[in-house]
Amino acid sequence: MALNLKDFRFLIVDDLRDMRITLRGMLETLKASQFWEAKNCEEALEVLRTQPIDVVLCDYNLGDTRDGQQLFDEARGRGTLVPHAAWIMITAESSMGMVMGVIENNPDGYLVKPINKAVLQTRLERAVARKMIVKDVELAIRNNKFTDAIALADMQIQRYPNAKSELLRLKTEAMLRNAAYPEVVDLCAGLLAERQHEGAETDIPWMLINLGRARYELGDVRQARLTFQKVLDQNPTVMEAYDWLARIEREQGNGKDAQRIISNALGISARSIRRQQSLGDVAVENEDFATAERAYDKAVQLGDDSVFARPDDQVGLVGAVRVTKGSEAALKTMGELVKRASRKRNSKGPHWRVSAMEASMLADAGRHAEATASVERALEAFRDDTSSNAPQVTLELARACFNTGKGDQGRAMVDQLVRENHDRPEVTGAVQQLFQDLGMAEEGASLIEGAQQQIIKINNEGVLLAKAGRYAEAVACLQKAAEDLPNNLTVTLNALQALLMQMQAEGVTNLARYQAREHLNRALKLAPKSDKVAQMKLRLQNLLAAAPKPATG
Amino acid sequence: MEQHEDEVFTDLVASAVHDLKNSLALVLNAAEQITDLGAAPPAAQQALLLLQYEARRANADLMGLLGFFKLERGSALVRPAVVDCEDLLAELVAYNTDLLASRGIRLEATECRVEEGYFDRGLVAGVLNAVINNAYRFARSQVTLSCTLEEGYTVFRVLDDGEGYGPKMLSAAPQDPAEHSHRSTGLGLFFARRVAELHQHRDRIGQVVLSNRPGGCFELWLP
Repeated sequence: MALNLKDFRFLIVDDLRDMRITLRGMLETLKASQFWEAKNCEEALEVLRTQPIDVVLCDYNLGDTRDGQQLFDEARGRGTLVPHAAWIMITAESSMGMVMGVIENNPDGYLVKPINKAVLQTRLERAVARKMIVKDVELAIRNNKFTDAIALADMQIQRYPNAKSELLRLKTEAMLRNAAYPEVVDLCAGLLAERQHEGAETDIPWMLINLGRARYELGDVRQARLTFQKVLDQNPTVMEAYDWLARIEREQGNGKDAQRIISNALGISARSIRRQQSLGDVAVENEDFATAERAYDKAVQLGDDSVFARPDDQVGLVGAVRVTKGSEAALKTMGELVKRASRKRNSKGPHWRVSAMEASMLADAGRHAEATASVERALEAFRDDTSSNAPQVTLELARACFNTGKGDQGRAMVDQLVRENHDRPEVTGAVQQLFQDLGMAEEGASLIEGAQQQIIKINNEGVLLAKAGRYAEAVACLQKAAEDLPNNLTVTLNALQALLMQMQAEGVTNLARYQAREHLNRALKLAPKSDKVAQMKLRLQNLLAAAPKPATG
Repeated sequence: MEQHEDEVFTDLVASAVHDLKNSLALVLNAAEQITDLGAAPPAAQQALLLLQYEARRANADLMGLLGFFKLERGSALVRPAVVDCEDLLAELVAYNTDLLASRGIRLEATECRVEEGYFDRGLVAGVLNAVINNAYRFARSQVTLSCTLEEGYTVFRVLDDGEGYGPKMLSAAPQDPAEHSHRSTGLGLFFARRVAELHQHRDRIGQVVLSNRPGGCFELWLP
């Protein structure tokens, strides 16, 4: 196939200028004419943000804190790559096996140094052709159109049998996202058996990984664990398998095992920010604060300018230092974080959680004026924060408020928190604990009681209305409550329940369908693993499937 | 503390070799560029070809050295992954065709019976590139590559129509690098054997088989 490269936009990422020039020279002899160059991640991301690049030629070893894998993840995470963009990773021979194993998300091709023109041409043609075959499937998955993705994959398999393995991988990915778990188990197990029947001695890693994922989702944790373990027995560089095993061990309460597994994975590739984050999280649970400190520190360093950075990393780092080295050292670390944050472009200052933590430490140290300033900074940023936060996190700030004489703000915050979690004893218990620590146990009890009663009253009202067949009123009452308390799972589910009853009795309208989906999505976000939510999802699906399709518009 | 120094040393050597390889890559590309321009007088063309041949050889030796160094230091050398064998053959042909053609040697991949293999692609490609590059010296007019499935092994075969291997080469003990230096594969062949041996699956171990049919035939058997 002769490829006309004239219209292709190339991005060449290499830390060595001569290497960039050489690659560019080779591309020019292949008639390419549009180039962008970057010597590091930062520059590359800037080009990708502003230019619809068709082909990225990226050296794996960028001589930076981040390598080609991090750049690839970051570009994917930011969604700045155009759907047909082909990504080609360049490595040395001696590290290629390593790179191929470590690389997740599969780039579209590899080039092994030394490269000559003929090899570059073959690789380019292949990568571009491959991308053309898979891009629509990938795009459908990216847009959450999973049934479309599955249909497209099937169509392309018919047309391009050579790309079957890759297309099947994407198809099972779409099926997993579409919650078609039993089907994925059948498909992957069938593919694995087929390969074995053909005499292959080893399995294809993605088939085992996706089989394991489906088994995990179906609740078959034991089989899932064995499946992921098998991947690593055959190929210890498949990083995804470590992540899944660690997740399983952590959920099963085997924190020590989870920590060991993540550490092993980081021994192979230490630059993954998300893995450093999980190591920090699990080490905190294991009360291994020295490890947590190291992991969060790395995560913070890798998180500069990354979409994967979390405020939890900074909070975790300071918290771990506080345990291992005391408040003074923690305050110093905090100061460094703030300095670091202010050096960044578009810096919005430290996250409110960092300021809240700073405030409590300063208050502990008796530095009240500084503590108050920190709380004010935190409150200001907290108001602008629309993301949902774990209740413990909000409690941290409330505690800082109380500690610095801002009891009113603290009370308002806790009141909202209780109303959003009125039936979660772990939250109301933590609130009660806070008031007890402050020597205000009685006030705490009455605040919790009052907030709970208020929600229960609205809830009961709505439920009674619904039972009486007054669906519209029930929906109105509960929807109002759900809007006021977007993070209250029970209220959200009751609003959904009322809508379901209304649709059952009075037929499906576009509005009700839309509202029901909204509530369901919120519930899924609040409690992704809840059986109750899963049941509601099924009920809604059945109801919508049975209902005649309403006229659109 | 000693281990820490060891790690620093390992990093230092690894990055020096990496640097050398980058240098060689640039030399190779510059030579290819000049050759492509076609402007050099015939004597210079010959010198350029020699330059390319030697630079590739040096590259292969560096890969071997780095490999042994890593083995010595106890880090994993071989990291197998699923490899598209036809694609690998196509790449080997693309990389070596021009240089061999300059000596009137045709390079061809004749058959590929294995769709997906499971081995360290970079190392295997490096080993095969070194063997093919070697044929620049020894083949008369033809080098053929193939990839077949034999007795459950994936077998890569490089066959030339030259004089074949000398008797010492054919009988050399695998663990003796000195005996491998005759056909200027030197370190290359010794390293190839190590790479093969490090590919293991169940109770089977990879190996290198040399024979004369009547030209030199190099086989890499991977379980």
